[in-house]
Amino acid sequence: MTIIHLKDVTKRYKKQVVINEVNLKIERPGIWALVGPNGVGKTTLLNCICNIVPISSGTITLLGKSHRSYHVFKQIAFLQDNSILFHYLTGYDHLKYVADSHQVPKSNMLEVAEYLGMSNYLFKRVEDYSLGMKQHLLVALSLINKPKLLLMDEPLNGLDPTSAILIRNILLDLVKQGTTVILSSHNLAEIDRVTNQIIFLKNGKLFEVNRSDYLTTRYLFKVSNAKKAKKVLTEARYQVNDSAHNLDIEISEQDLDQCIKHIHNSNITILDIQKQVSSSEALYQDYYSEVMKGAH
Amino acid sequence: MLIKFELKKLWRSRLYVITLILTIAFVLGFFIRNIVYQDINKAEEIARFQGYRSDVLSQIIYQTDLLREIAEGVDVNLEESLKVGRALYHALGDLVEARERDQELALLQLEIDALELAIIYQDLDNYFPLSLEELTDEVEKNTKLISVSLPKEPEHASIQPAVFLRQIASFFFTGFSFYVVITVIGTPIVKEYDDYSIKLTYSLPLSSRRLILSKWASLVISGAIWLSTVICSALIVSTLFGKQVDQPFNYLFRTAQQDFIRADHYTYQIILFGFLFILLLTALVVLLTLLVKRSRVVQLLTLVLFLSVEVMLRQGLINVTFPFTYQNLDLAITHFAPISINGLAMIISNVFVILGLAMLIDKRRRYLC
Repeated sequence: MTIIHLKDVTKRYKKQVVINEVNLKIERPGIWALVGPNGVGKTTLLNCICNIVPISSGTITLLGKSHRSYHVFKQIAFLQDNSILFHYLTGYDHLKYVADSHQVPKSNMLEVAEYLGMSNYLFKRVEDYSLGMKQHLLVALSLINKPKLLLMDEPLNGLDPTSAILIRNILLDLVKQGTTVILSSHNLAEIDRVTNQIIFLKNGKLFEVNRSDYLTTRYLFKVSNAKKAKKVLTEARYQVNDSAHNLDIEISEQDLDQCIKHIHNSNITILDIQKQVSSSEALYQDYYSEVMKGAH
Repeated sequence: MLIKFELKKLWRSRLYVITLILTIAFVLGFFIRNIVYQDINKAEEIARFQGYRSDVLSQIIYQTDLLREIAEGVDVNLEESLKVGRALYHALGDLVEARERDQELALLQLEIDALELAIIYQDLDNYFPLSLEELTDEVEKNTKLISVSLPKEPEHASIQPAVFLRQIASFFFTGFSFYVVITVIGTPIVKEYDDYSIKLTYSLPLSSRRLILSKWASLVISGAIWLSTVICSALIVSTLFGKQVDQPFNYLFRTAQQDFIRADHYTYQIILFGFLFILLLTALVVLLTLLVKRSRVVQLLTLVLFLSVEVMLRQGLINVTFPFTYQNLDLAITHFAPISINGLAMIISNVFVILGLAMLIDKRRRYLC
């Protein structure tokens, strides 16, 4: 069964086209990261998928049903920003409301709250919550119904490292149980930790990228004589880029020992070696080079 | 479940609770004012009767002097006037005495006697401060009250439960109060669209119909609680601390058709039409919320509606086919007495139409599988 199917989806705000005839098909569980600069339309896309914002044209199918059907939301959860919270209600009130809407037993709801360490402030009003507490509540709200499809808009916003690790582990557990996660985040390092599947949103279009296709292992050597080392390694047919005292060498892990030997035999001292893996950030830089130039 | 959540939002927003407390405070305030006013009212009433008496007396003195100037038996009318004038003077004296002694039931018959004499007195070309219409009106009312064995009450300052309830209903069940209440209970619902917290609900497996009906139902419950607070607090305070009379709800109120409506019928209608009007008003707020999704605009539109209806009512444009006429409940009930079945049908049908429109507008969750 297709988990998400976007077909020629367009979203216009008056004359401005935010999403432009987008197509996307996700057929297996996993984590997909939705990436793009601020204002590119990531939240709009997620809102369109959940039918919170009506689309201008196209069709969206979620778990085999139209996204306009409310039934389908029994198996879907959408973690949104904290503006959806009622500041004069307690965390418990929110959890109860969502649990009742999904017809989930109260015990499940309390289990989720306890797992996220919310017991101490569950009965406090949301207006007294810190940003991190609100984020915990939002995460808890999205986990109550054990969704098959989980859409998350900036889930790590305002979380301390301990909580971020907790959320990451929860996501990985969910995927193991067959959940599909669409994760919109600016935290590219965190994305690298949970998935290789990235969807870039640029000029209203989606670009699906599997980071594993771009995975090249590079080693950054810090040596006593970079110029001599480059000459030695180039003669030995290694791909070398140098900059000042560093050597950026593209090699597989098997060739690493051989490469070290070459440098060592040339009486060059190796001061430091760092493993460099092609990151989402590098891919991001490629996709949004013109945006980044503009920022500079 | 949804209704419970909506009610929780309202209760926790505090404004609603404050409104209920203020309502009770106003009712108590009115009651205390009325208690204080009892003696003032008595004094005013005595002064009024004394005033009538003085007017009659001055005419008697003048006519007696006149009669002295002309011979007796010459002017039969003058003699008759003097005879009636003297009788009226004494009747008004009895009236003052009865009022001073708080003989309220006896007062009714004494007032009838005096006013009937006043009618004859006026008929003999003498002056009396009340018009013939006012005199017959009072006589009729007193006769009716004697038949139910209830004393006459000042309708603007009574502590008799039925009359006090009417005073409270006339104050609270008007356009202004309904506007305040609907703004207080409706704002948390409209505000969800202002601050986007509605997005939480839209990401849940809830149908449009369920969403609209539960929002409406929670508004209706909140409105009904306010209505009950007004009625119950007025009844409780006046029953416990008010004037103790047998069968207070047998009291009679004047209708626009110069007929009478019994206080118990009036109370039933206040409750019935008050509740129906809340059904209508809350349905309208739900529709406006879905149409404009901005709390300030919804507040402004309802204010314009209330003001327009108020102007219409003040111009005497009271029409049973326009259900918002019931924003002034007392006026509508006494105007359409004994009861307006058409008004009832109009309100109910309008509620259905407005809710139907609201469901048509909100197509976000369709019934697709």
